[in-house]
Amino acid sequence: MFRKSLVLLSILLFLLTIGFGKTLQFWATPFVSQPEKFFEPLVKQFKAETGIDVEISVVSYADAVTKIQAAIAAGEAPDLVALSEGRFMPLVRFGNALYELDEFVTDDLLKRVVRPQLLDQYRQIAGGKLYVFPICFWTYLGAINLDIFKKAGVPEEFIEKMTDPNKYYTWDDLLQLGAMVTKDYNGDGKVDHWLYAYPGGENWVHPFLLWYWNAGGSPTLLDENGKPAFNTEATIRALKFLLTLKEKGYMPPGVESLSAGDAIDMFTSGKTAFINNVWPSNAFVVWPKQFKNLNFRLVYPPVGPTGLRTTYFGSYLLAIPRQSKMKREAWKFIEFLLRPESQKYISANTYYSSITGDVPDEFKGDPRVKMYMEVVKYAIPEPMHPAMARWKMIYNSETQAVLSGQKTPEEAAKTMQKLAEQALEFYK
Amino acid sequence: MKRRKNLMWYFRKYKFDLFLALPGILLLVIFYVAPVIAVFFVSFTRWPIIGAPKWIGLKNYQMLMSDRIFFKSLLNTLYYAALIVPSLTIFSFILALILRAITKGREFFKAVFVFPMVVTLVSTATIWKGLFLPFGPINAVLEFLGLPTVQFLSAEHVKNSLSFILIWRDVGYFSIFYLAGFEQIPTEIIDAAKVDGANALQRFTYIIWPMMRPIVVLVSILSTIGSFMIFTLVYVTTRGGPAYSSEALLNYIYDVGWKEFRMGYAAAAAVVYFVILFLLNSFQRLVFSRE
Amino acid sequence: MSRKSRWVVYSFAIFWLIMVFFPFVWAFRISLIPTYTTYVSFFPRSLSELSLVNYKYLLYQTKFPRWLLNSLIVSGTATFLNTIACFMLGYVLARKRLPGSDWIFTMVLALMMVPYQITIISLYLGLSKVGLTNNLLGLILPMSAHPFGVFLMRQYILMIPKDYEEAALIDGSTRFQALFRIVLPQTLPAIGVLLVSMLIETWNNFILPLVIITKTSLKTVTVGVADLAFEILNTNWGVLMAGSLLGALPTIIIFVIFNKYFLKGLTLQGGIK
Repeated sequence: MFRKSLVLLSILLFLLTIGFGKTLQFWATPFVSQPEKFFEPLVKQFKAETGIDVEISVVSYADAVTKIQAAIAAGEAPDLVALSEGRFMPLVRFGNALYELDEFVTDDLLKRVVRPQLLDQYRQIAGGKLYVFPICFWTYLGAINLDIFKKAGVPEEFIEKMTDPNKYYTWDDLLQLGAMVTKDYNGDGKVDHWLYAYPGGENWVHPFLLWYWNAGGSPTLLDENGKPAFNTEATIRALKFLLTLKEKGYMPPGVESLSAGDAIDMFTSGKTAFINNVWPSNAFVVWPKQFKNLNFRLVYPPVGPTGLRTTYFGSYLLAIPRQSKMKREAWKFIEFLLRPESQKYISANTYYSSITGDVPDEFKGDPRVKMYMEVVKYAIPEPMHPAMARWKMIYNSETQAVLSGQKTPEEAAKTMQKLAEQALEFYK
Repeated sequence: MKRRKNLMWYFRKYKFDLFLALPGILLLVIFYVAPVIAVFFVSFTRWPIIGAPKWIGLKNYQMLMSDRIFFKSLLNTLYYAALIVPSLTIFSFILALILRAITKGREFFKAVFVFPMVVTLVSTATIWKGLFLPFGPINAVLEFLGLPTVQFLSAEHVKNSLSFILIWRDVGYFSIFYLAGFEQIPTEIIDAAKVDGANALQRFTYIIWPMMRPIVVLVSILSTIGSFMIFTLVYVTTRGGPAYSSEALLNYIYDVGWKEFRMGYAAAAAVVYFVILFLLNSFQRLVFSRE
Repeated sequence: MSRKSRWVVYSFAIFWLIMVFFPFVWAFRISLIPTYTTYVSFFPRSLSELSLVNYKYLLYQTKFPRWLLNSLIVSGTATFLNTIACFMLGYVLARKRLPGSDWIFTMVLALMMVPYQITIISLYLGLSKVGLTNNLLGLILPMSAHPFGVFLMRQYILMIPKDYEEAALIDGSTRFQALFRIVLPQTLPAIGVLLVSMLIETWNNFILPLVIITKTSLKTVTVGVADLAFEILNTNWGVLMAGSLLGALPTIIIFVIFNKYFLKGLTLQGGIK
């Protein structure tokens, strides 16, 4: 009896997993902490208007491309995928996996996009065709822990240098800050606060690039001849600076194996005084809610040794896999997300910038929003080269090697160059 | 014609046995034997999953020979095995001796020691990742005791830390094997040896060791296979970092195969891995079964 | 045994007991923290510091319950099929009625030495060609026969005397009846062992669901828990720990109930080789 019921039960459950009905499969990367919950009201309204349901699966940034490729190989690609600048080219280049959006895009829509040059960039890298459409974008600011600054007696003018758009602070200032902040405060013989934690153990795109670009590195990671630009002055300067921070003890121990989340945890738990990758949803939504005791203030990015001011520019790109059988419906959903009301909802809940410029009224007077908009002019979009996934692994692991003392910055830069060029062989 | 008749006859005679044996044999052939053979074939191709495989001969193997990260992860894997297998073999023996000496509550302690093995390795790994944080609880305890703190997941210590998790997990499990072995040694023999004046060392070498040796072989082979579970640990805790210092070969195969979609290349790495494993296993058997 | 050495033995056993449970107790403590941090004191100052918010989050706002269900379906079905297949094949191999039985047994022994993880590439390629990726069947079938299970069954049935079976056959019962009325009841202890250890093994399986399942709603709990860490931008240790503990709970419950069987099974393995 027991066995029979077991067999019956499992057959029933198989049927359930197959599922019925007209549903868009949307694979969303976690640009906010709970994408399903975030999209829920939008999906509800979309269903009420069109009768099309949207099922959201969260796919981590790290696995997004892999999982999409695997799904395509198995012939069961989703109808809509979320990507980033660094992630859509491999899908375009290998297997021609994404569908051209040009036939859907109307002039009316193009007129509403506040940053049309973005679309041009996406077209340019992909041979003139548009494969992705952004629904919002964001930049990174820095942040400082005011309580630690106060405890360490950092002069007011320092804070002013970091927060006044007409003033600036340099890498040397950061070193000076490090000396002031990194101290044993309670006299137990142990350091209580550090300046900065570099997320060395994480395979993310931006932590290394923030310093590399700031040191004068190439925005596209390519030199003027179209070769990878890793064995450069900029790489060595960036790595040297990180190594100095580590060697002087301004970074907490163990940074070479710290994940990005853990590095942020170091700041939010009051262990480090400075952080350089604060995206809007953290600054406006997550931190004020989760860390009520954290007394932080947003600061501008530093000025690098070559006098450059840079930061990161990211956007939430949507694409439709060629295999999808519901391309028109998928585009309908993208269009729905680009409506002024939807755009306002997105901005209001994530604080990311609306791609059509439709922001809620309360944003207009917010000085923090103003700061984020201010840095857009020198923010650099993620490099879009198809080899990015591999390059990212290469520069991250070489940076780990430097931080864990296995290689000098010069050696690491050389290895990066060699491996990056080798990787191109496969992407020919 | 005649042959066909024979086949039918054969089928009729063994109808019942065939009916019993076929599901198992088919499943084993399809999901164990065929994949092993297929991996060899795939290793001679270039196959980005999408599209058909292309025969490229030994090229994957040639590329492997100059692949720095492949050798690094191969060495890491051997390091893991070299640390985990002897530690498990020895420490679980010691733990079994302790269990044997426990008279009250032995069943309770047996269950306790096996417990980590029952918990999903993914959960265990996630929890240990938290314990190993730079300012995590272990370092807090060390600091409390006035000892220097350790960066468990730094390039220097990461392999040892991950090995420790696996040893911690499996040592109780394997000690039960030894305990079962001890229980097979008749106490009368040992008592008789004692009466005859054999000292502890002699009793060990002449009575206990010969009876325990098959179990030592079993434990060392099972723990060699168990040490490949390091894949899950590395995947959950470090994903191979820092700077590939914890990358195990299986993780590399996964990265190459599923992150870069070079299935043929990954298969070639798997074949090399398989050959090394086979040699290791034969070596183990040779060492222990030498009379 | 002297008092002193007994003291040493027990204190070591208790030390290892603490080592075994400390991680889980710590994880439980962290899972009760409502914020995104691990940096809290181990002992809460008041009960109001504790909250079940992470468990609520997991159960109501992620697909965690679905992952649990998937794991239960996969482990349950695979273990069930596995036990039947292994019992039947093990019986045939033990009684050596089929020509080539020894040859098949050698194959089984050889397969025990191959870590299946190595075959994951061809397994994946094969399953994707027949459309079994992103399908729970693709997880169940590869786990439905295990060389170790066949080995265990064969060795155990070898120890059961043939006489009863033969007597039953003489008394006019069919071979099918003889197998299920006579042999099966006597094999029950080994079947119990196999059920429990395979349930734990299939529940633990990680690499297979990792490569075969990409849909969130089809993940098993092991992959789901591992992905939790990467799905949330700010690592939420509370949720991770809650997930780790909840994900391990089913096997822990089974172990607590059936630990005698499981331990006996280990003893059996130790005795067989």
